[in-house]
Amino acid sequence: MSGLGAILLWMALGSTTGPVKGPKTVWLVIGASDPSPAGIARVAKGLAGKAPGGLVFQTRDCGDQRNVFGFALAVADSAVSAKATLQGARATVKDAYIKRCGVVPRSLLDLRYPAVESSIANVPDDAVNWEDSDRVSSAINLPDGRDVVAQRTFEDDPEDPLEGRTVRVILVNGPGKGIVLSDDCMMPERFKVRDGLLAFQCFGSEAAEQALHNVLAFDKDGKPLANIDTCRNPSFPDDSTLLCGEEWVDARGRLKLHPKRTALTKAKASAQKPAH
Amino acid sequence: MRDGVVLHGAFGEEFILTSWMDATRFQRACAVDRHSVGSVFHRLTFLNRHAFERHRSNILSLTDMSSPLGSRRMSDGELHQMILDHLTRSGRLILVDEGLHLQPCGIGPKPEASELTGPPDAGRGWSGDARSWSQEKKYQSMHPELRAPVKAVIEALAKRGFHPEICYGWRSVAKQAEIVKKGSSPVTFSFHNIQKKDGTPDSYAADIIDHRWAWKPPAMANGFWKALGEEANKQSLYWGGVWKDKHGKPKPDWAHVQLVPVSQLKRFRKASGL
Repeated sequence: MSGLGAILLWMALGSTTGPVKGPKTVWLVIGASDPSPAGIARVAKGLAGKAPGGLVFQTRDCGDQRNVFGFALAVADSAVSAKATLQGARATVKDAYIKRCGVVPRSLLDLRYPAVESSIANVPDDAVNWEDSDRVSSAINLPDGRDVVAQRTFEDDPEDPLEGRTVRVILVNGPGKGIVLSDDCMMPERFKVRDGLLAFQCFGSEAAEQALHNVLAFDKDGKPLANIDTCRNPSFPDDSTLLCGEEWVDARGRLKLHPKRTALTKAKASAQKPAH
Repeated sequence: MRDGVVLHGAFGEEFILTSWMDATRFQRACAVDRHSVGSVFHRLTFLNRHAFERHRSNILSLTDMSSPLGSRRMSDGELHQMILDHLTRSGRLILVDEGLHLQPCGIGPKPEASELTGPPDAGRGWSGDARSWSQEKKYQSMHPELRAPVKAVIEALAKRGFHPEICYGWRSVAKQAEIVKKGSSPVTFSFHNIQKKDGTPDSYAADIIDHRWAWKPPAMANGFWKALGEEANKQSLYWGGVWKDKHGKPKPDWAHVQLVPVSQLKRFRKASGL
C-alpha cells in the first residue's frame, strides 16, 4: 500500500483509529511470580487482600520471549513513583522488586486487565478439562482500533458440563474498564466490524464431529443487536444486515452452511452491563 | 435409609455392601457385576472377618432380617451364604466398588439390563471410526447399565414415529483429541470416552439423533429433541438438552444423554486409567 493509500485508509476508518503506538514504559512493583497460570492465581489470591490494586500480568506483555506470570502490587508510570511504592510494598512482601516493562501496545497489561482472573484460583486441582490456556485471558485487537478482552473465569458449578469454564467477552472502554458483551462465550472468534458494528461467534455445542456456534452482534456502544443460534462466520454486508452461515449437520456428520441474513434492529440498553 | 457396610480390599480400596433398594442410581451403576461379585465377596470375607461380626445386625437389616432371633440363629457361614445369595441371585444386595484398583463400575443387577450385557470384545474389534460402527456395536461400546435405558429411549421414539439412531456411543480419547484440535469440542475427556483399564469401551453417554434430520433445524421443528428429552427423562437419564449456564442461559447439547451426573466425570477419568 502506498503512503497516500495508508493515510486515506486511516482517515476513512475515523477517529478511533490512530497510528500504531510504540511501547509505553511502566515500572511494575512485583510481589510474586510463577511459571503457571494456576500458580500465580493462587499466589495472587493470597496477596489480593494486602494489595487490592494488584494486577496479574504476563511477561510476554512486556515483550519478553520467555513468558512468566507475575503479580504486580502496583503499576507505576515512573521509576521514582515505583521506588516510593516499593518501600511500602516491602512491608507486605519483603522481597518485592521493580521490573521495567515496555508494555506491548493493546496487550492485557496495556489495557490493565489481569492475565489471570481472580476466580481461576478456585479451579479444583483435579478438574478434568482445564488446560493452562483455559486459565489465561486474552486481548483481541479489532481492526477499527477497539479492543475486546476474552476473560477466562471459573464459575463454581459441579454440574456444569465444562466444569465451570467460562469466557466473558468485554468491550474495553478504558483502563480496566469495559462493557460485558457476553457472560459466557466459549472459544470467541471470527470478530468482524463495520461502522462501529461488531459481531463474533461462540462455541455452542457438538454435533457428531462438528461444532455448532452462535453469533452475537452489537452496535457501536456494545448494545446487543442479534443472537443467532447454530450460525457461524458472521459478516456485515451492509450496516443494517448481519450475515452468517446457518449450520446444518447431517447424520453422517457432514456440515453444510446456509446463508442466513438478519436485519439488525436497535436493542434494549438494559442488556449491557459494565465489566467493572 | 439403612447404612451400607464398608469393606476394605487388600490394597485399601473400599467396597460398600448395601441393599439394592437403598442404593443411589450411581451406586447401582458402580456395583460389581453379578458374574464377578462372588469371587470379590469371598476375598472380602477373608479380609474383613471382624467387620462382618461388628456389623452383623446392620447386614441383617439390609436383608430385612434384623430380628434378634434371626441374628442369634444364623452362624457366620450361614450369614455369608445368605449375603452371597442376595448378591449373586436375588440382587437384593449389591457390592459397590468405591475403589479404583478393580474395574471401576460393574454390571448392576438390574434385570432389564441383562439382555444387552454381552461381554465386550476387550482389546479387539474396537478400532476404526466409532461413528460408523453398527448400532449393535455402539450399544456394546456403552457401559452395560446404559444400554437398556438407551434401547428403551430408541424404542419409545420409534413408536412415536421418529427414526432414532445412536450417532455416538463410545469414542476413544485419541478421537476426542482430534475433535478438539478441529475446534469442534472444548473438552479433552467426556463421558463418551470412559473405558475400562484394559481399554475396553465403557461409555456412559450416547448421542441420539433422528437420522433424517440429525442436527438440522427440522429436528427441532418436528419435536424430536423435545421427545428425546421426555423419553430420556423416563429412563432417568441425564439429557444435555436442558443444560444451562450459571446465568440460566441455555447451553443445550440436544442429542446427548448420559447415565450419571456431570459431577462424576473426574472419578470416571481416574477409573479409566487415563
